[in-house]
Amino acid sequence: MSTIKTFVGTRLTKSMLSLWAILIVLFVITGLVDHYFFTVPSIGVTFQLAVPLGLLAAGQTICMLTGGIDLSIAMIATGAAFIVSIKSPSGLGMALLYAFLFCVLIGTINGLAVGLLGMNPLIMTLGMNAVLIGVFTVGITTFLKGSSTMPDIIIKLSTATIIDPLSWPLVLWLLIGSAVLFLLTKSGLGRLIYAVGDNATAARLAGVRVWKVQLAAYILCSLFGGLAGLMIGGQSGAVSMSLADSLVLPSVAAVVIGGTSIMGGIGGYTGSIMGTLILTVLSYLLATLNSSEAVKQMIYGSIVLALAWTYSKLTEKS
Amino acid sequence: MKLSNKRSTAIFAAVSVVSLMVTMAGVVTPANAAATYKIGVSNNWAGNAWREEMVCAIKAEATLSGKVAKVTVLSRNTDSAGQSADVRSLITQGVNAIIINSGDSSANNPAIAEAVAAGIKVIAVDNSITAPNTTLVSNDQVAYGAAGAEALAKAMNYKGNILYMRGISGAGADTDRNTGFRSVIKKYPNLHVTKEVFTGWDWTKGGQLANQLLAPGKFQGVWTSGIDYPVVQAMQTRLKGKYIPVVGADNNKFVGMTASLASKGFVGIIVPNPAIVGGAALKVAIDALDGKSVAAKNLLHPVALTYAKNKALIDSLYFAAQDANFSSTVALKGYTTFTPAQLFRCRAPQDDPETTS
Repeated sequence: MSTIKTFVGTRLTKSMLSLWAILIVLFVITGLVDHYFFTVPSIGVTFQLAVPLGLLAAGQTICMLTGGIDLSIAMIATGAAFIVSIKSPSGLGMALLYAFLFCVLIGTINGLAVGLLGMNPLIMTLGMNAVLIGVFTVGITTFLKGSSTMPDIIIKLSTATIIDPLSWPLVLWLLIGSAVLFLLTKSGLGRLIYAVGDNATAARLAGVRVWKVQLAAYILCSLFGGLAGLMIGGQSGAVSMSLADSLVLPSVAAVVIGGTSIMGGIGGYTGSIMGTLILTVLSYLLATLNSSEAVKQMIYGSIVLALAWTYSKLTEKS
Repeated sequence: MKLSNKRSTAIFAAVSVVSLMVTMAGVVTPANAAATYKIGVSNNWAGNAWREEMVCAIKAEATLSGKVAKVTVLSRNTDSAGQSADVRSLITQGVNAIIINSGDSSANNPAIAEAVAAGIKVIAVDNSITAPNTTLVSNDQVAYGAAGAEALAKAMNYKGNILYMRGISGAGADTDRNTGFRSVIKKYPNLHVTKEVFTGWDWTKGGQLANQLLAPGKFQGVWTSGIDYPVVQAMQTRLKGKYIPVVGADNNKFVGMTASLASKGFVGIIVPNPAIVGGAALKVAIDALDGKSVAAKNLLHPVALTYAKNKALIDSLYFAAQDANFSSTVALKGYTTFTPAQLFRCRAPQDDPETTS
């Protein structure tokens, strides 16, 4: 275990520098293209809009460290937002409880299928994603009818500025981010997550109940997804089927750019935070450019690929 | 229960439909002499509030017309192949008219041609189709773009930067609205579209874009293709409540904000895009089945509304009990006859009449 930790440690210092360099370059380019970007409120907003992706990336980091992935995370986010939207008239507390239970339920199904039944996480969560799309498509005209806006308190918590550029979502992210970092680096579960991702068989032979670790990972991932969904709903003021659709690829990309191995066992949340910030500035930059949507998509995809590739090359050498 | 329903519709049949059946033999199924028209609906986007309301308008108007025995709705998220299959399914079910909101302007043409050949009246609603011998009932989208742009230009004193938030790149309605919008904006040299984005007609994406793009002093006005209230919401935080004019549609929440925020200096410009155009399509379908002459294109002409000029009308368009994205126009003069309550009930002629008041 200690060899893994030192290995991760040396990688992080070098790669961290390159991530910072990429972020600063993107930051400067965006500022040159759009002079409104270099104002304190604008930087505050950019950070604020990064929070949902940061939360999704937290869930994805935990999953990917165990060697898994959660592609149903966007629909879990959408589901949580739908539930809070439809249940909030009968009390915010109950609404949040229902959303929490929903996330735990989906996370449990994903976790048990992967951990106990040995299903491929890619197939399992993609299937879950399709099932949830179906359920919500039916639901939007029946049991979810009328769920289109978020309660005011969530809108405030997702957008309200304390003092520019510090906002409530950013404070929330700082707290949750610290908790995730603590979980992964200092807690027993964190060590088990790395161990399972590094070599599940070895972990099992060492007496680790691998399926329990995987179950915990998918439930945590699901909960982060739900929280992100509420924040996206709060920030945009509206809930819809495609709420978090556009964040599935970025949630995986942020983790990969941040240096977490898709095979598991290597990486951490610090890198994912950097990945999140890079992708958020990149999406701001692309939103500022006056080019067609198709061109923007191509630029975005190419840059993500280039980043992931360069990054893996860079870290290979060290 | 079904008997009494048939008995009541039989009265209508006696006065109007039976005589029609003589003249239009072959259109109405002869085996079921007492029954009246069967209407099929094909909708390629389920789970969308606007489309659901469109379908309800068809059902409500069909029930009130007294001339329709059954409305068959095939509504699902599907591609052109799926929608063509739905159209063919409606043909085999023996409907007299098909009201179609088509996902593609030409991909369903072969199936539609089969329907036309079978003597079925085909009415395209909302989205136009290129198939011959069909009738279009829709909002005039070019006029929609122009009306909003003209009102926005005026609200901006004919100068400043516009955030231009379109729908889906390549969609028929988006292209038409752009034509209307551009034709107005180019008249005013001091108006500049400094930012053009596509919301994909998605509420969440529209809100995210508005949050990302709005900054104090950056824009003096916003034109949206109907994704309106999240933009106003973003202004409350991004512009610290210093509102700039926004063009939106007759979405319930936007209508409400236009009224309630007027005192705080917000100028909301409402250009209706009524979902109940479905009711108008039903009326046109019945006219066609009745043998009346119908125009190939039946367009609604949207007019821009502002709270300064149309206070009473805008107040009447807000329904506190309805959803945020409920399309607030509940009557189309000359086309629809239902009351708001009848529209909300969403009852087709064949449904259990118990709830009828």
